[in-house]
Formats: sequence, C-alpha cells, structure tokens
Amino acid sequence: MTEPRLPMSALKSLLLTDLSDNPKLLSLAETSEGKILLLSLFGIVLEIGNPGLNMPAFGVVFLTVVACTFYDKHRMSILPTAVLLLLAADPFPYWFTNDVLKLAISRELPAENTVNVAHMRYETLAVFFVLYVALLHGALRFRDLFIYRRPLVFLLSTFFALLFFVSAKILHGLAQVYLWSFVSVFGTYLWFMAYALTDLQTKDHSPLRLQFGLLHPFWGSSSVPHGKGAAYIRKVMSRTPQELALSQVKGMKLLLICLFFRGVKFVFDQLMHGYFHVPQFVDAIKAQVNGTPFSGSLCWASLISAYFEWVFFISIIGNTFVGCARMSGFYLLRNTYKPIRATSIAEFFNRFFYYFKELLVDMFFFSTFVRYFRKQKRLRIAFATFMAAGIGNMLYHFVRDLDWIVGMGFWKALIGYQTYAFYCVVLAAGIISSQLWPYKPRSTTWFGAKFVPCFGVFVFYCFLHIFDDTDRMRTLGQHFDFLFHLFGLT
Amino acid sequence: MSDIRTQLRDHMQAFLQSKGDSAPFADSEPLFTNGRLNSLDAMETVIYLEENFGISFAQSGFDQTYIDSIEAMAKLVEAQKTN
Repeated sequence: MTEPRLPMSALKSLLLTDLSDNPKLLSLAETSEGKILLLSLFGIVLEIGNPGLNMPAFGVVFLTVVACTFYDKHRMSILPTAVLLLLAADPFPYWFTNDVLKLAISRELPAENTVNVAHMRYETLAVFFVLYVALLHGALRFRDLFIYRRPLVFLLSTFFALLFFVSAKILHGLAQVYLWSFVSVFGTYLWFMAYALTDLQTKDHSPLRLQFGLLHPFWGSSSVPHGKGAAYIRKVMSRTPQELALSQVKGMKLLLICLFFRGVKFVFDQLMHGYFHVPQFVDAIKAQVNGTPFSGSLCWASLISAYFEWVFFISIIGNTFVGCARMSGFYLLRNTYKPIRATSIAEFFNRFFYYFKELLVDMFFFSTFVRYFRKQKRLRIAFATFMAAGIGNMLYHFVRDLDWIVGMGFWKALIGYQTYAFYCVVLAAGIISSQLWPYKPRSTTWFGAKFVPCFGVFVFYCFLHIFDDTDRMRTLGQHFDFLFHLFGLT
Repeated sequence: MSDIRTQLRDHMQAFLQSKGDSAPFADSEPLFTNGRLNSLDAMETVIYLEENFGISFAQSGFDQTYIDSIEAMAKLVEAQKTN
C-alpha cells in the first residue's frame, strides 16, 4: 500500500514537471482529436499574440500549419505555396522596409498621387521571383561559376552595385522608383538567397521548391532567416507521427511562454514608463541631444529598462516565429534561450539571438576562419570573429536599413552609421576577449561562479546598448555624451 | 573507415563530456543541428580535423553539415584520403 501524497508535494511535482514531455500528452497529440485541439489553441494564441497580423495573413499562416499537420508528406510543396499566398494576402508585410517605396515616390514623383503602390510591389516581386528561380536553376547547372562558388560575395557585390547605381540618380521618375523597389526587395531577401545558394553547392542539396519555400518562410522571420536555410530545415523536419507530435507540443509550449512574456512586458512597460515615469530610452537620448537631459537617475533607469525591454522583444518575436515553425513540424531550436544565465559575452550573443548569430557565423565566421591565419590560432579566431560580429553585423544592418539611404543619400547615410559601426567594433572586441581569455571564477560558490560573471555580462551589454542605435541622425559623440551624463561628467 | 569512425567518436565523446554532456549518441545523430554543440565547438572541431586528418576547408568551403555527425565527419575524412 503506497503512502498518499501530500497535496503540496503533488502540486510541486506538477509545477516542476515539463508537461510537454508527458507521454500521455504526446500520445494525445498524435490523434486527430489531439491535433484539432492543438490547432484550435494555436489559432487562439496566434490571434491574441499577434494583433498586427491582418486577417488574410492570419488565415494563410493558420491554414498552412493545418496543412502541414494533416498533409505532412507534402510540406515541400506547401511551403512555397504559402510564401506566394502570404504575399498575395499582404504586399507590404512587416519584413519589407516599406518606407523605401514611399520615400522614393515622394522624391521622384512628388506630383503623382495615383501610383498604385501595391501593384508596383507585385510587379517588382514578380521580376525578382523570376530572376531568383533562374538563379537557383543556374546553381545546379553552372556550379563552378564564381557567383555560385562564392555566393555571398556575389550577392553583396550585386546589391551594392545596384545601390550605387540607384544612389547616383542616373535614372529618374518611375524608372528610379521601380529600381529602388527592386533594391529593397533584393536586400530583404539577400540572406535567404545566401543560404539557398550555399546549400545548392553541396552534394546533398535540398530541392528547389524547398529553397523557394524558405524565401521568408510563412512562419515568420525578420531579415534574419529564422530557421537558417534548407539544409538545417531538412534536419529538423519531423518525419514520423511521434516527431510531429513532439514538435507541435513543444511549439505550443513555446507560444504560450511567448504569450506570457507579452503580458510580463506589458506590465513592465506600464510600471516603468507609466507609474514610475521613466522615459523611453530613445526619448532620453533625444533629450540629451537637445540639451535638456533627464536627471542621471532617470537616465540610468531608462537604460536598464531599455535593456530588459530589448531582451523581452527579441525573445517574444523570435520565439513566436520558432513556435509557429514547430507547430508545422519543423523542430527549430529556440531563438532566445535564457540569456540572463549567460556567463560570458560570447555565450550571451549565442543565447540572445541565436539565428542572427548563426547567420554571422555561417556567412562570415567560417569562411574567414578556414582561409586566414591558419597557423596562428588566436589571431585566426580573433579575425574571424571580427569579420562576423563586426563587419558582418555592420553589413547586415546597412543592407536592412535602406530607408536611410533613400532619405539621406548614400554617403550621408554611411557617415551617419558611425554609432552603430562603433557598436559592432566594441561587440566584436568583447566577444573576442571572451573567447580568447575566458573568465575563470576563483570561487566555486553560486555567487562567485554564476552571479558575478552573469552580472558582468549584463553590465557590458547594458552599456553597449547606448550605442545600439541605427538612427543616422545622432552622432557617436552625442551617444558618448549620454554615457558621460550617466556618471555625472556632463 | 571503422578506425576513423572510432577515433572520431572517441574524440567527440570526450569533447562532449568536457562540456558536461555525457548522453550517448549515434553516429548519424546531428550534434550541431540538435543544439548539443554550438558554433564555438564547431571551430574546435574544425581545428581537430585539420590537425589530425589534414582536412582543408579553404578550397572546398565550409558547411556545418560536413561536421554535423560522426558519419558526416568520417565521409569527409575518407573523401580527403581519396583525393
């Protein structure tokens, strides 16, 4: 006869148990009834957690997940269909810097107010897709060509050549606007294309329809491919009913965690900016620039608050994308995983924004690491890390923020990039030192071994956040003014 | 081939154990894609393959799938020997 369990110990056991590993739950998720239950819950969570998603786009995402659930063997065809349907539902999804088109039209066609911007976007996308499909086919037939052996060099060179041409204003009027539109689309999809062309160089490459289906996959991404490329997707794709059930249950868990954190962030925002009247960080910087700075204590509060808000934001957005991917049977690793627990600068970068880190590593780190300073280990690591976290980071954000170049012109936008460039250099230096001279705690206590290094990482990234500013209107000096103001030096 | 696999397996097992991960793994199991190893570990693995098997990624280019499992690494080493 077993001893009855006390209510408190049973509760404690329930709370500590990861329900997503519960065999009964996983078995239920394999049944049709279980799938319908999961999908219904998914629909509710997707709607509540993403108020910015318009109804047609919501419908596409939801129905694609349903299709991937019940027709999982046809995922390779479902994904590219979803890409096209999503764009048909909304030609201006969040991943396009839509200001580029509006700015270009206002500059080139100021008297015109009858331009159908949606039609213009569709026409540009059609041209881009035709060229992209041709590029993919070419990768299989002409793999020895330079553009396919060094795809990132080709893509970045093409992008910057187009950018120089359009910035030189050789064309005018509608032609110039269409060109800006094309450059914007090209820049948005650049990193997805890079993954696709890299994968097509391998012997065991993925089919072309999957490459197309990952051109900004339906589950969501920023300009950073959340899910990397087709090679990674094929490895994490569920192949059995058990794997699908596990992926979907874990996905649902992640989406519920994201929903919870949305609530926490909302309360945090209300508390900090509503109740305690802490200024938003961007307002604190602006006030400093305008010569009417907030008090030192408010600036400190603003900076620390901004750090946590940023961690919340990236975690919620990125893991929502991952949750949707898992619901469709692609068991991606989380984008953000307990970053506060990082005990080194390099580890935080890995935990905070995994897919951005992977992008920089895949596209910049290893291609540099295998080629340069192979006989000098430390220099090899340092240079490759600089190329990734420094140069790659700069290039990624410069390509992403095209609206500044349309608005200011190429050279002014480049000069205005000084603050973020400084941020990238310091970040790279921090990661390099963390890799080459890792912190060795002298104490084995929790305080010495965990708290101290975690706090050190927090301090580094908190101060670095001052310079995490891609706004081109504020100078590096103005950001240093803010830093000095924190310590009462200005 | 089996000697190479054994050598690779012993090395990766010791490497994982040094990181506090002593869970077993099959030769075909993806170690990086599954998150058991990260890109810093990939760097160490690249150095190991270069120093112990003379692998050079400079010409062929590097892709993490080449080192994602014991099986993948063994194929890489065999291909290098054949070339």
